[in-house]
Amino acid sequence: MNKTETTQQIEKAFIEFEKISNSTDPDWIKSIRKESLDIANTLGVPIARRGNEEWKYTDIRSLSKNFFTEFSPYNLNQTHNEINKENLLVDSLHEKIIFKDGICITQMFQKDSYVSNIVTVNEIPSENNAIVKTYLGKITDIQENFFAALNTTFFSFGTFIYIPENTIVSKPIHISIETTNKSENNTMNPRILIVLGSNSKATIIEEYFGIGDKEYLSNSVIEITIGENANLEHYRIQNESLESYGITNTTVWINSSGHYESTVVDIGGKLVRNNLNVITKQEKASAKLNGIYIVNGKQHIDNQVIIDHAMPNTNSRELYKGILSDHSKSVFHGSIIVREGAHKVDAHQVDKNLLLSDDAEADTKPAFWIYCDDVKCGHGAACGKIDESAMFYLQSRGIPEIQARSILIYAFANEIITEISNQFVREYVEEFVQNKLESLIGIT
Amino acid sequence: MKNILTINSLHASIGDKKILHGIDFKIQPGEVHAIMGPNGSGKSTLANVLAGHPSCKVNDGTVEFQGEDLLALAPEKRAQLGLFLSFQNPAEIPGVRLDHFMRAGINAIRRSKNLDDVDILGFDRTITKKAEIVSMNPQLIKRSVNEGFSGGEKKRSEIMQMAVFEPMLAILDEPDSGLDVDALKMVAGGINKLRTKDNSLLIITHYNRILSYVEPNFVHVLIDGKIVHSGDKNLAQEIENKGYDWF
Repeated sequence: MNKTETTQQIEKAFIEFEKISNSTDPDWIKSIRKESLDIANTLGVPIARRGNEEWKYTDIRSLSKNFFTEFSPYNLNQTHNEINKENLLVDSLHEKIIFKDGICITQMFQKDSYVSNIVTVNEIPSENNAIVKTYLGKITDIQENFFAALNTTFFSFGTFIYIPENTIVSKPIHISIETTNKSENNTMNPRILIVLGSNSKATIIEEYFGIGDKEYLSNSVIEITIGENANLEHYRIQNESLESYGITNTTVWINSSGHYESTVVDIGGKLVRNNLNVITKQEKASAKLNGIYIVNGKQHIDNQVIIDHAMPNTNSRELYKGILSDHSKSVFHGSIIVREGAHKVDAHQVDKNLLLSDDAEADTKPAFWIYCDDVKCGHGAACGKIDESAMFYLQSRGIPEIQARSILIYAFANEIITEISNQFVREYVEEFVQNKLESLIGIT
Repeated sequence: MKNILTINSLHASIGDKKILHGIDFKIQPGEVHAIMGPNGSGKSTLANVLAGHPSCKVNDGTVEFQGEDLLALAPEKRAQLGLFLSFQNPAEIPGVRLDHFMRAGINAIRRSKNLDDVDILGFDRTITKKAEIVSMNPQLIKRSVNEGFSGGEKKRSEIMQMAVFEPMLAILDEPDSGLDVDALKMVAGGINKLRTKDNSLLIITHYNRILSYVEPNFVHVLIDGKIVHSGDKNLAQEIENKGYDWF
């Protein structure tokens, strides 16, 4: 697939897309789309090669050409009715929003107006229009990011969450993005914007779930801004189908004394690429970024995490862990930037991988860009197999080999799970991870 | 009386290196046997061969345990039959709590006998009682297995586990190494409390120290992979006085 070919496809697709979107998009969105289209076409699909550090280990040549031929905006007449309200969850969740095949929207509890679905952009509640206009497309830098630019050109559904200042939402808001064989689109561009006012607090679960054997590309952009002294717990649980390509582009701004906590759980997908950019915009901002990826078969998972310590007295903690089996492959590229004048930054990054087969591969690459003295930065990386002495110890206590193996693998993953502070989410993730591990090790 | 353990002409190696060159002895219920020998004589290899360590290869000989061909069994099956190894240097297992580790083992053994899993609360009480036998810090029981444990704490943990598992035969691989006198007395006292007329012990040690607290019925001297001499507890004292050179 050469650059011109893709460009032509995308431009052609945009003409079709505009036929529908033009009638509903406000002018400012139209101009955002046009600008993004130019950027996407200038950048072209990234190519894995030497010198291109960001894409060195992830080859997306297998992305089907068809992914760039059609971007149907939305089908307003089509809704799925088969989703039942899961009454049980009303107690555990503040809100649940379900997107199915990029077209269906179910907002379940509607307890308040904090959450709005962007079916069409003009459905944003008018009182929040100014906020959306301030941040949408502004937080994510698309200049160097083809997929974020593509999303910004074609996004058509998503969620806008606005937590006003001094508001504490104690239960999680669950956004579930589901894809089935029935999907009419093979490329989806979900868009999520989260704005936390000062002194507010929220927990958000962003879940991707796919079934069936249809190839698709899910390319989402998540923009988050955390106000002064506000606190966001953000969980991404990714269980896309094994035929899917999943790309997420998340950018987070943290203001003074704000705190961002992210846990990324990746078990699905044929090829998954998570771009996470966290920028401490003001002093005393802090971030904790955890991740666990469990892959087998020929799955490929790539986490690109950039923490930009733009301001002094900010800190970050990163812990990513991977469990890899069969011929699977992982990439962890963690960059920590400390800007000029950002004194007293405290940043620490760790990536650990457990390899369950000789053919699995983990590439881990820390990168530090420090332009300031008086900072504390550290990192650690490890890749290893199951500790055979621990295996023998467990077996010598009567535990069968396969169970011993699963105890050790689960213990490795558990370090991330026990850090999840919300009990509902922790139990949810626990079950999720357990199921994947069971399929991986073959125990029941 | 029927033997618990019968070892006949046992030859074993690690990698290409032949370590054991024909070991013969037997253990009857209630007996305490000590294997003494200098460094590198094959003491720990003997313990590991009996427990089924994958790096040990048996070249010749037979071992019968509780009437079964021990060498044909996986390590977990040996434990399920009532064999226990107290490790000289037990592994650390980050992320697995010591109490959960023991419960998983006990339940696996119970399942092999078609018994139900233990009651969790009842099992917790059992562990607390067993920990007292070796004055084990109860905080450690809720921590990851051996992670950050001192040498002495690891030894106490091993003997506490022996108390929990109540094996027919416990092999104690250097239970005294690295312990000061007070800790040694505590560990030895624990071992003595666990002796019964049915259960047997095989203590592997370099020195006489532990044997002055835990009195053996038989002492075997292992040098260069062979038992060169067997005797009663007085042999241990003789080694203490004269060393190993006179064999």
